[in-house]
Amino acid sequence: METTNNTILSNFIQAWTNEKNSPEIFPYETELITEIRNHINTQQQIIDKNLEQIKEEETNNNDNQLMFLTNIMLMEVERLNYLLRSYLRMRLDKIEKYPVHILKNQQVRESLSKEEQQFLAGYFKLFEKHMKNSFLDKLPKPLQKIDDEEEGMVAKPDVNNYVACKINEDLGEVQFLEADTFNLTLKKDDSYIINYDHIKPFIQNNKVSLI
Amino acid sequence: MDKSGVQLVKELVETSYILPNYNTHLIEKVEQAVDKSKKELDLIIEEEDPKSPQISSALLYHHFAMRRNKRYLCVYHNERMNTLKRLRWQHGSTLPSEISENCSNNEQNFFKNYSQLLTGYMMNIELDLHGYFTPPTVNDLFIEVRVLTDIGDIYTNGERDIVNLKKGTTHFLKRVDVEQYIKNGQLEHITNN
Repeated sequence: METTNNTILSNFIQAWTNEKNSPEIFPYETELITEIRNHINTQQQIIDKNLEQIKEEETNNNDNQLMFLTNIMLMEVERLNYLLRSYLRMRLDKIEKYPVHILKNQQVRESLSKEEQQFLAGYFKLFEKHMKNSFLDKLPKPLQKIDDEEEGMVAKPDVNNYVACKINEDLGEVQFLEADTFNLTLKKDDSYIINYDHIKPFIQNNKVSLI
Repeated sequence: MDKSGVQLVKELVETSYILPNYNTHLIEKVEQAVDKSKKELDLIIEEEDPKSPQISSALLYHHFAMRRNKRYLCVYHNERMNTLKRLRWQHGSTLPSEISENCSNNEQNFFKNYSQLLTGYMMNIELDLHGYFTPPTVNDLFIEVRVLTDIGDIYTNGERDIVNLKKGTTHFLKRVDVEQYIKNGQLEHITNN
């Protein structure tokens, strides 16, 4: 039981770290988020019970050990509360930054949670309406488009950004195409600062983690 | 050359206000400049031979002037929209009046609708995303606060307890429960140093 909880926690922390450091939005971690929320609820219930017990026993000298334990649990729950909200907020942030790009890219769009997809649709509508009413509709017809790809008017994540990452398993020699083609032998536990676009396929199947 | 587009964007960068007054006048000037370019373009296309180098450079000039002005308008509105979104996270669903005064009608509508959209999302996922903006540390899980203006009863500890925040009293509470009141100046965080 403890070990599974620990895996959930470390997986979630990794998901948060990946999301925080990548320019793109990753697929929504449906299962992980459900598990984390369950974990928070269970722990909070135990904390509440402990606090009740401490209150009752207050008269006949308090149980220091229980208090100590409860405080540590509370700290853990609060950290998770932070990570969970921070994770979801970062994702909203990316959706708001690249609404047109995500809407046009079916694969990315479908990797969002159902609620995030609703938010994206709603947000794009607001964004479009605001721009149109404020000035787009008053411009000459050919300039009225909001998603003018040719004119570079669609904000996109900068996938050529460099990211720091750790290799989780031996990947052997991998070929990268940049200005010149180059080969790298990616060994377990090595760290690199590398072009995000190159390393992206490995992040998704957990062979590489962002740090 | 018309400089109102640059001025518009500069205004956002150089201002010391969170959100300067919506500059209808300058925006109209930029829109007029776009119209002017468009008319010149149409005129050239109708009357001149686009193959001559002089004419084609004139075409390009107006074409890019128009695009650039559109871009200025986009930047101006987008940046202001981002500010409004940031304010939604900081202040909740009502804009402070000194900011609301500086908004266009469209912007006020945007803020209202964006606020509803966010609230809807949080209701859908059954999680309040306000609060927990900074990672909790051992020292600030609970903090001591002094009440500066009467707030009345608030829920703390995951809506299990009620605390009455009366002016002048001090309390020892969970930080996330009172974060928003500290931000808008109703509570003061008492620190030891």
